[in-house]
Amino acid sequence: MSSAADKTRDEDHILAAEYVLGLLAPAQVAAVESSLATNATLRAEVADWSDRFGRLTDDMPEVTPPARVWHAITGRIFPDDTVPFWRRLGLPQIAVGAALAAVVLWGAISFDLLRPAMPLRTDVVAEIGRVDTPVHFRAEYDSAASELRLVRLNGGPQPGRALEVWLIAGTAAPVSVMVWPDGAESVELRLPPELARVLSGATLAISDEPAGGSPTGAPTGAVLATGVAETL
Amino acid sequence: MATMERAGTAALEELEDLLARTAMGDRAAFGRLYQLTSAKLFGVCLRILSREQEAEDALQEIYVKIWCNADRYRVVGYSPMTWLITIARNHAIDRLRKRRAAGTSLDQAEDVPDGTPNPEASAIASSDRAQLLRCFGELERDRSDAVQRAYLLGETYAELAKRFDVPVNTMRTWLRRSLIKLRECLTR
Repeated sequence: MSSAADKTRDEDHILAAEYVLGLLAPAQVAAVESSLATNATLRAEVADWSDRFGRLTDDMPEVTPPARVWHAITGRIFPDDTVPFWRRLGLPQIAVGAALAAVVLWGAISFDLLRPAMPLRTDVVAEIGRVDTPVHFRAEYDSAASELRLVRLNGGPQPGRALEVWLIAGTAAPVSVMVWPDGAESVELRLPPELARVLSGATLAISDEPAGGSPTGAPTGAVLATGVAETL
Repeated sequence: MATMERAGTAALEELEDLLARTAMGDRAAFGRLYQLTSAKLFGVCLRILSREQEAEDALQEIYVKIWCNADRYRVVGYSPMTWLITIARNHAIDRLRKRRAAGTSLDQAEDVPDGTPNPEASAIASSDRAQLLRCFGELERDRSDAVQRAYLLGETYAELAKRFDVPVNTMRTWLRRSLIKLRECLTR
């Protein structure tokens, strides 16, 4: 076996381990995740490292959590004791299609749950909605980096529809921040300076819109959740 | 595999089945899954976060994630306990990193949650775990610590470099070499 081949193989093994440990920069994470979709060897290596490092938890004693934790969980996921609408409608069912685009999306949304996010120096936060609103998101803003992270806690768009995130500063008209990518758990984006300036104290809102987002540039559907951005 | 031992009395097949049914919205299955696995995941949250209230909040969010995402379990090729532990560890690490970024940490979170062998734990440890600890033992002490700090405390290259007082690139080289050695030992 050539040493060049060994090197490449070692490099993949290390990359998989660094990915599992959460040591990679965001661009590297994105590169690993797009390879995961098509590279079964890398996928197996990531699963193996997760299993190996997971054994470091073997000696952590089991502790039965207090009953209030289960009550809180069921209160969040079955708020009105009917099947929650996002399950009735179904989150994107993962079908491994032949199309590469579908495969890449599959990789991205299946693995984002399985890695730690990069740390932000959050100084502005907003809770958009609550556990009992149709959708529930959290916004975290790092003003030094102008990075806004939006995390979907609950809910999602109805089939054929989209969720759009808006920023409303005082009495100004709502400005579109983004259309939520279908199936995403969290999204990070750089906030343009004119929005960054007015974020603290502004209202963030999520509305139900046609697929692709509002055709008019203003919210057209129901407002599903709102929250005020507060400086920590 | 460590999976069966880790899950205590829960058999691999039962966890597989419960996750599949949870993915279809079966609440009873989700309840049973919680019964079988929450003590383990709570233990992980407590050890990583060291604060009980925060560990409870984390556990709550972890199971909401599990409920909402059980349909993704099959795609990634993990064993059920590895999938659950990975979600729990990553969520707890996210919180710990936020705490550090906010500068409010370091009181209780400084110690490496104990991954090093103690005789009692080793005696009852699974053979997989015993092998992992033996392989960590083959690394230099500092380097073994650094890898464990990355997994158990979510420390980044920059944080590890500062802790061990070496340049970031040196830390990266150390750690990457250690990972190759670990893997060689584990697949021997």
